[in-house]
Amino acid sequence: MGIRDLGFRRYEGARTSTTARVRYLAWAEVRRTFAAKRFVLFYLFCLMPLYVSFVIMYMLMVLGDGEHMSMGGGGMRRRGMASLALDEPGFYFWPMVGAGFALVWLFSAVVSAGMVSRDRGANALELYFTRGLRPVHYFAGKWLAAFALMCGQLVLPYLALWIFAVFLAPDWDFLARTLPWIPAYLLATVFVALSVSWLATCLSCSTSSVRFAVLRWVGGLFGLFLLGRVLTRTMGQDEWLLVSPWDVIVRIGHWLADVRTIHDFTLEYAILAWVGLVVGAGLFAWRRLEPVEVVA
Amino acid sequence: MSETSAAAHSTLVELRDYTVRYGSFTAVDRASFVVPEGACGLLGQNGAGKSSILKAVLGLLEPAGGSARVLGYDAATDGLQLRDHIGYMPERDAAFPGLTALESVLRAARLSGLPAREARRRSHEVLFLCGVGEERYRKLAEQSTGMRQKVKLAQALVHDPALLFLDEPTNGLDPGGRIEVLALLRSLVRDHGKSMILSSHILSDVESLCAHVVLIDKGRIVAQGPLAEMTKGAGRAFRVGLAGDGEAFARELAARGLEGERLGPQSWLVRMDSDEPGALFAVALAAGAQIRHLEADRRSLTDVFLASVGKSAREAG
Repeated sequence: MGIRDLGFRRYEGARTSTTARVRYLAWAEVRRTFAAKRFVLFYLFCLMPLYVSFVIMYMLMVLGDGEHMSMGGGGMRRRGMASLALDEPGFYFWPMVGAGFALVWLFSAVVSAGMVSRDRGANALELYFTRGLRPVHYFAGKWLAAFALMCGQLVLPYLALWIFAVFLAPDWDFLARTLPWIPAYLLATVFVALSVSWLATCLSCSTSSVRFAVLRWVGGLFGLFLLGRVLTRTMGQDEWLLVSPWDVIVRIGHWLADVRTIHDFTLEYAILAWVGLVVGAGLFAWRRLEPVEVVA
Repeated sequence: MSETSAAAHSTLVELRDYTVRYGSFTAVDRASFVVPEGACGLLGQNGAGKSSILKAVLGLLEPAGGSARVLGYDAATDGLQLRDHIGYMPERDAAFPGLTALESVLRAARLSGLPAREARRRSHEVLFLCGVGEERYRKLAEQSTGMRQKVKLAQALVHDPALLFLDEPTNGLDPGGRIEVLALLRSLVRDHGKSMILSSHILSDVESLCAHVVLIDKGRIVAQGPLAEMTKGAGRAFRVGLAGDGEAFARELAARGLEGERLGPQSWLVRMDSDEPGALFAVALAAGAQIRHLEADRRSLTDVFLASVGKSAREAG
């Protein structure tokens, strides 16, 4: 009997849990995102700092004598590039939050800032909220998807780079030296991915236009990034960098990874600012995802 | 509430003093009605409050007052469980962006709690059932309005809900598609025991499908009940088709104290005191005429609607 001959069948089986539906939503979003060839190319482009890191690593380990695993002198260290040493976490952390920060913004804009706005634009929220999902479940699914995609840029590639380094190293001493800081390093990268995806997904609730959401996210990050630097220079206090969400996240990330930081502002203030940002963005998203907003 | 007890409930929807507001505007004003099993039409002009009722019951809008029980669930507190047993087809164009018809229906199925394998299988089946099987691998954005409408219906059906909320389901369909969809809906009610609330301003769709009707005007319920009762003629009246002398028939009616209204050269509407039209044959015999056609007079749903919603509906119509 073919599909078309079956007519309508009853479904008597059990229903999946809400958690399973949230997981499905996240996984479906990741698959949908990677189904586009253009996105795959964009993703590979955003991994540019990884390729540079890989070349440096290859030069030091394979083309070099295998003994000297660092490059760059005191000047680089002072500018926060302290860790172009393969056995320090900074080597794996700096390419994404330092040299490649603009690519992180761009990538997060594309994968996270459009998460909810795309659905708003297509009136899909009406479909989601009339299923067995509450707005909070929907948001959790979308954030989980954005986080997973951000991990694809911030966590997994650099973890893979480290694993590669372990196998390229002349002996297991490299593994013994680097393994102790790996958990803290992972925590820091996961923290950056979580924070960025949370803020971008929350902002994504503000509009029905993907373009506007992307512009708001990148424009907001860039504007506050510049403002922080202008105020810091004008006022002569690094604390003004707290107005920039990116600097706040990076400061905490440096601390978690135990990496030398270029930011001279107090960690406690950074944590307070981060909590404020996360809670404020969450409340904003909560307001914008009220069903009445969706259908009015 | 257990699923068994919910399913066993014969009153599907019961609203009491249900009020929905958008800010200071009252969209639904203390609406109370009961919907039994089967197909029920929710009729009203654009902006009457039909969609607001459906959306509030589904949890999309928070009611300002009153209560709603649907399938035995309290809509205010058991919304999550309730929505697994309701299939909703929205009025406006709503789609999961960037997906094909199959992926859209599959997503709807998974989000309604169907396991992966069953969801995929049912998605294929339901798309064929709704007449979009051949188009299922095309992106929704590339499909015609009619096709998208059918995909929305498939999304509403895929998780085998006990109750369907269909908001203007035949919008954008060509005549053939409209007939197909109405036939499918009729078959779902008749052959598969589905119940549905059909919100529409196309009276003929409701008339052809629904056994029960709720009329709403400016947020207030103005009439409700079985369609057969509502369309029953005012008083006891019969439509009579004659062969023979019509004038004599009219004189004979007047002589017997019956009220007759001439509808055409040989057709009459006769009001009587009884449900039994036998006396009309005696009248015809006395007038030397023959009755060729005889039926109880029924009002159309349009008549009922216009009478219920009043002058403003007539002007709008």
